[in-house]
Amino acid sequence: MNYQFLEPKMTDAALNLGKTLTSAKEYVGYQRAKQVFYEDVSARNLMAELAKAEVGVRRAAADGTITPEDLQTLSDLQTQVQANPVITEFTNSKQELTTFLQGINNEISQLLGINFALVAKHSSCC
Amino acid sequence: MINDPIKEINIASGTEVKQTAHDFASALAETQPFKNYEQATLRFHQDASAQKDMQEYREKQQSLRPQMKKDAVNPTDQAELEHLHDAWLAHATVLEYLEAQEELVAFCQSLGDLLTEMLGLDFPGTCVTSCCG
Repeated sequence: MNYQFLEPKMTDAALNLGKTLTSAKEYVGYQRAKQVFYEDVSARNLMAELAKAEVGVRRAAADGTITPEDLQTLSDLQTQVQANPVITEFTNSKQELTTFLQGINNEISQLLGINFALVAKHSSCC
Repeated sequence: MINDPIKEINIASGTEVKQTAHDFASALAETQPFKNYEQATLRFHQDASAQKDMQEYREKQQSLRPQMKKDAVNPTDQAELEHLHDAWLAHATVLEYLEAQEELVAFCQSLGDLLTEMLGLDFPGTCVTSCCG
């Protein structure tokens, strides 16, 4: 991507912010948890199974063909996911990173008087 | 023993992160797109006639919302709505404001893209969970 049209001082400040964010403990923690998750085949398979079961239950509910067994399977998978330390670490770290980045956006936005992320977001709805 | 490259990273302190966020905001506040937007916003808010026309347009739009949802606005109401919209857009302060806003959005999107590229995740999208809710 070309950022040449940004003013040099602005580019430097943005690069510096990006660099600092990537060395924040929330970001590093998320990257570490993500790496562990992607290296854990059983955790990834479990998440894939859960996603498949959720789609199946939604479809069955819409068709009116949902059975107690479908719901039990989904519930069992949810329990397994919640008990899996790799998945919970990945999920929690993602949430921590989101909260952290939202806090950074609030800092920026308060100084500017506009919601920076809202303005910077490429609109895909509304 | 496996080397963990992540362990080699020097973790930035909370103060350091906050300071770079402040520096970023200060730098953005000094850019031409932001200054233009601030000035245009001020002029637009001070233009009583433009504010009045905007209010009338919004009120009409609001009153027609149920019909708009059903795509059942009658031609008379539609014409009035368009007339009010045109009257609002006829103000120089409004055009200036909308242009400045568009310029600022494009500028901030570039900054957001840069941060997204560096982080490997959608920075604005992560901070703003929904624009429809």
